[in-house]
Amino acid sequence: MLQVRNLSKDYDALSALDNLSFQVDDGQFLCILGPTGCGKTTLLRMIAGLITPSAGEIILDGQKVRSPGPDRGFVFQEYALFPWRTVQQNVEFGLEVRGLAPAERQRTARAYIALVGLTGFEHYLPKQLSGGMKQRIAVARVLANDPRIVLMDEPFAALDCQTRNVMQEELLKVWDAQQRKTILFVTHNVEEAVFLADSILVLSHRPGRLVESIPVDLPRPRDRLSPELHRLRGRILDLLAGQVSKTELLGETCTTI
Amino acid sequence: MAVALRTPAREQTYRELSSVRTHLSRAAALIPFVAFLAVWQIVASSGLTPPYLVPSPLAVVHAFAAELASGRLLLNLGLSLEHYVLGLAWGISWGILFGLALAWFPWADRTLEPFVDAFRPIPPVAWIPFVILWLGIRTESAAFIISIAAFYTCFRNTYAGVKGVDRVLIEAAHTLGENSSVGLVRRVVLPAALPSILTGIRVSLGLGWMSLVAAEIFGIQGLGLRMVEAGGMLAMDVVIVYMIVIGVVSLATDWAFTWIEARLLRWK
Repeated sequence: MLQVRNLSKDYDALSALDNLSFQVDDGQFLCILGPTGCGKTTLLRMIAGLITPSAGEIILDGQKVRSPGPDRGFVFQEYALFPWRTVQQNVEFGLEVRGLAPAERQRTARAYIALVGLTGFEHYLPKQLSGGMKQRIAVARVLANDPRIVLMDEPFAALDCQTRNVMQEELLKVWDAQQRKTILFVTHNVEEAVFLADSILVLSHRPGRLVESIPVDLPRPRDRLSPELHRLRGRILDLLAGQVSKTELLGETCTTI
Repeated sequence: MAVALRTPAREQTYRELSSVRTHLSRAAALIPFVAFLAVWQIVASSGLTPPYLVPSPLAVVHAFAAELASGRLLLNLGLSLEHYVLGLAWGISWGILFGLALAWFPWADRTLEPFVDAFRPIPPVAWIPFVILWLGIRTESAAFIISIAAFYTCFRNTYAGVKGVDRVLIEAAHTLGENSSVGLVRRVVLPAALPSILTGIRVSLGLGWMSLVAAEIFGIQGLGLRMVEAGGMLAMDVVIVYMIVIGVVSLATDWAFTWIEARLLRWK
C-alpha cells in the first residue's frame, strides 16, 4: 500500500504542490489527472525518490521513501532507453545491476519482450524503433525488474492518437497478465484517464491541490464510446472548468474503430 | 511509368553505374595531388630555382631510398612512434580521468576546474625548456610535451561529454536500481559520453604529430630532429621525405581511428 501524507513541494517562492494526501491500495490503477503545471509530474517524481518533498512524507509498505529504488519502476514520457544498448540489453539493465547470471537475465528479458509483443526485435537498437515500440520496451524494462508499483509519467503523450489508443489497450492487457501491479499513471488527457483508471485523482492548477478523488466503477474491457464513459468525462471536465481550456484536457480527439 | 521501366536488369545497370560514379568521385580526391606533383616537377626542372630551394620529386624519391637504405628512416620512425604512443597514452588517460572527475563531482569541479584551465592557453612548446631541464633529453621529455596537448583536448571533450549526458538516462538508471557512483559511471555516463570522448582522442592523435616535431627539435632523436638537421644542411629533399612520412603516418592513424570510432558508435 502506498500512502502520501501532507505532501508539499515548493520551488523557491513557487508552490508546485500543496498539502496533498491520498492512499493507493495494492493492485489499483490510479490516474493522476490535471492541467499542465498542476504538479502531477512533481508528485510522481517525489514518489520515485528522484526529488525530495518540501514537507510531508511518502510511505510504501510501511517504509518511508527517501531515494530512488527498483521497487518503484518509472516509465518516462521520453522513453529514456539507453541508446547504445540493444532492446535485449535495455530490458536486462535492472537485472544486470542486481547481479543476476547472464542466462537468467536473458531468459527473463525475453519473457518481458514477448509480453509487450516485441519478440524478434531483441537485437534492434532504440534508434531503429518507432515511438510506440520504444515505450513498450521501456515498460518491459521496468516490469522485468519486478517492481512493487509502476509510475508512469504521461507515457503516451508523445505518441500519435491511434498508437496511443493501441498502447492503452496493450497496457491493460499487460497489467492483467502481471497480476495487476499497482500503477500510478499521470496524464492530462481526460479520455485516457477514464478509459484506464480504477480511480482518478483530479488536481487543480498550480499549486496542485486535490480537487476530487473519483472512483471509476465501470466494467473492463471498457468501450470508449459508451455513454457511461462519456458522462464521466463530462463530469470531470466540469470539475476542471475555469481552471484551464477544455481543449488541453481533451487532447486531440481520436475515435477508435 | 518510370517505375514500370525499372526491370531487374536495369536495376543492375543503375547500381553498377552509381558504383562507378562513387569510385570516380573518390578518385577525384587524387587530382590535387597529381596536379601538385606536376607543377612541382615543372618548376624544379625549369632551372628557374636552384635545387637546394626546390628539389625535384625525383630527388625526393632518391633521398627516400637513401634514408631507407641507411636505416635512419626506420630508426627515427621507431623512436618517434615511441614518443608518440607514450605521450598520447599519458595525455589521453589523464585527460579522460580529469574530465570525468571534474564533470561528475561538483566539489572537484569547483576546486580544480579554474586551476586546470588556467594552464590551458600555454602552448605545449612553452614547456620545453622546463621539461629539458627537469627530465633531460630523453624519450619521456618528448612524450611529456606530446601529452600536454592530448591532455587538454581529452579533458575538455570528456568534461563536455559527461556534463551533457541526458539527465533522464541517469534518472532511468536510478529507478532501475543503479545507485552506486561507479556503476552509474560505468553503465551510463561513460557510454553516453563516448562520442565526445572519442572526438577528443581523434583530435589528440593529430595534435600529437604536431607537438612531436616541436618536441624533438630540441635534440631528442626522431623524425622531427632528423628533419631539422637535414634542413640545417640545406638537404631539402630529405626534409620533404620526412614531411611526407609524417603526413602519411598521421593520415593512416586518423583513418584507422575513424574506422574504430564508427564501429564503437553504431548506435548513434
